[in-house]
Amino acid sequence: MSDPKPEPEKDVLVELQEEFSLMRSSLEEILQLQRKILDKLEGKTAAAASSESSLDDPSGCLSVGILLSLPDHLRKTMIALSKLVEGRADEVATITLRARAIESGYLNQLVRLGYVKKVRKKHQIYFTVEGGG
Amino acid sequence: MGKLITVHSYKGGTGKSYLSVNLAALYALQGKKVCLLDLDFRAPTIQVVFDAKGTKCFVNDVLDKGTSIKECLVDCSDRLENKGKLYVGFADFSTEAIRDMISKGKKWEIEALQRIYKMRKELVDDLKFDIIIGDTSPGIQYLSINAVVAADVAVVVSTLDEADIHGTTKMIKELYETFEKDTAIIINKAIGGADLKELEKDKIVQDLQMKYKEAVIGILPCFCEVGKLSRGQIFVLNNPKHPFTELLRVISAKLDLF
Repeated sequence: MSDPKPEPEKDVLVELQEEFSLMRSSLEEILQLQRKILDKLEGKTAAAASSESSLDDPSGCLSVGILLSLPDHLRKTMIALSKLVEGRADEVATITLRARAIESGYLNQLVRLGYVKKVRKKHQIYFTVEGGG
Repeated sequence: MGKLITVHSYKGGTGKSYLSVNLAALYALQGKKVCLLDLDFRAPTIQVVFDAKGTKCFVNDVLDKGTSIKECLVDCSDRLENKGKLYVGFADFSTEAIRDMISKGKKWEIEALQRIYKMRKELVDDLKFDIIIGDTSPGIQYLSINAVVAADVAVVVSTLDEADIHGTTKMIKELYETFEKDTAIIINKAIGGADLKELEKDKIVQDLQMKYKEAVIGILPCFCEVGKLSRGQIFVLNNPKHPFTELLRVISAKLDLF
């Protein structure tokens, strides 16, 4: 017959086990908090980076700087479209007093440059300065 | 089709706000639906002439938060004894607002141009204003440039002061010509102007037109009566037959041709 383990030893083991599990859950909580902090920090960094890039590269937001950087013929088109906020090539042409086909070409150039967005509404093509790029 | 006329100058104290108020009143008295906007966020003035108590928001909110301009307009037709339709958009004249506008960053200024264009569209297309007069800050600063760029006609007010003429010439060449703006120049506070003969006036206009390469649409002499009248009064309303009013009427007619 083997000697039964003394009771106090068993108690110590149980206590140790409980403490270990407590430590484990605490560590998990700390890890979770750290993850949350990291996520927040990464989010903030990304937001700051995007706002910085929007300052450096103002495409997507109409500004005097953009207008000044454009050649004369495209600036005229851009100003006319800005007045309309959103419009078709023929509407822009009535403001600039140039041919519709010419304005269509210039507007597509502005789309490629990322300053203007092209939107299709039913069968018609609209251009907008909002959210260009 | 309505149009946005901005009143701008190279230097301060040329009488932009005074001319803006009186031009707006004249147009309204002619039966046009007029909107007067205070775009001088650094030194708002229009609240001295019109009562801003009824305003729910300011033009600052339109540029800052994208608020509809309709919300910010106050019907001030009663100041014209209801002889015309005149609405006013005030700039926030609290010290905090002025400080806030001065401290705005580049990104905000970039977005402001788009909002000015949106505001113009709302005023012309939705609210059907015939004339919108924007009183801007003097000098070459982002907010004034934005307003000038978005305008259909840009009025530049200059005095006969050498420094003013020099600065205005430079500003027109570098800013207005670049944007191919329809530009009109008004010479204000011309000392001794009331005594000038027509031939002398014509010579001044010709000389300045050569310098500015833009149309000088009027010379307003320095009338003591204009200076003496309280700032809160609308001169053209109380003095319909005064030479200042007559000259301003001619200027408004010339502006209609742009």
